[in-house]
Amino acid sequence: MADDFLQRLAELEVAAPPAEFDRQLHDRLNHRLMVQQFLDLLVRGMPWALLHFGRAIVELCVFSISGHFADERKKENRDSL
Amino acid sequence: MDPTELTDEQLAAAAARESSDGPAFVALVDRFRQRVWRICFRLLGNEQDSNDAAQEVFVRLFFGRDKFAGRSKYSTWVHGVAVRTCLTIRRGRGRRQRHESVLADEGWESRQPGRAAAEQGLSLDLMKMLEILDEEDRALLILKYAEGHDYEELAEIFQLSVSACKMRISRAREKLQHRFQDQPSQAGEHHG
Repeated sequence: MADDFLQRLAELEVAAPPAEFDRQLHDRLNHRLMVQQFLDLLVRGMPWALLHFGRAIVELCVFSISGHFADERKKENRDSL
Repeated sequence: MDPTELTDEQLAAAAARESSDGPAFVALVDRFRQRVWRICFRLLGNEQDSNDAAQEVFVRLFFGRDKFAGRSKYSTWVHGVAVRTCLTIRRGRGRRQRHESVLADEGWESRQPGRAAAEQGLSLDLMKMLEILDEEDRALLILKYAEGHDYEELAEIFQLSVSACKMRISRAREKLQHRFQDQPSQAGEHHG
């Protein structure tokens, strides 16, 4: 009985994929890529940006309080002379 | 080069070199759309879930396109991704919802006249009978008997040994036999 029944599984009709399948897949893929790129930006880009702008803000605070501006370029020029 | 001249494995390698869904990946989707859809439909049983699952399969293939190691045929690898995606969706959907969907299908069936209703009834009976099996055994039987995969391919798709596949299929068949041996074939009644 089981064999007959299982052989009939292959006879079952399967509906055709919807006509808009490719477009929906393209949309879903684009959405997923966008999310992935946003996460990439968040994980890799944001720490770099925070570090970069954070240093500028810290140095602005240091300059406001002490009046001393640590200019790396001037220091490099002095060292080369 | 014309993508239609490439083998599945060559296309997959070309798709892995693309940065987005370029011509090679589009050709792969074109080549596997029907097969992936058929597996999803047979495992999930309705168009809405099958559509969702089939799209998810291709999204997974896209993001994992550089993970195909070439140890098996590319088609077997794709079928494995499709089966795992469908099993995840079925587990997430839960038995209660599946039961509701079968009941809803029965309501639909009663509104279909003649042969269409008989065929729909046959499909429902077969699918309902398979519901007594656990998810993986059910998928194994469907891929073996409906999709015609051999034991070696099943072993790769389900990441089992060939002997384990044979044993699980044999046990699943025994379970069906034991459960339904006393009942006349409901499918036959629908045809009669």
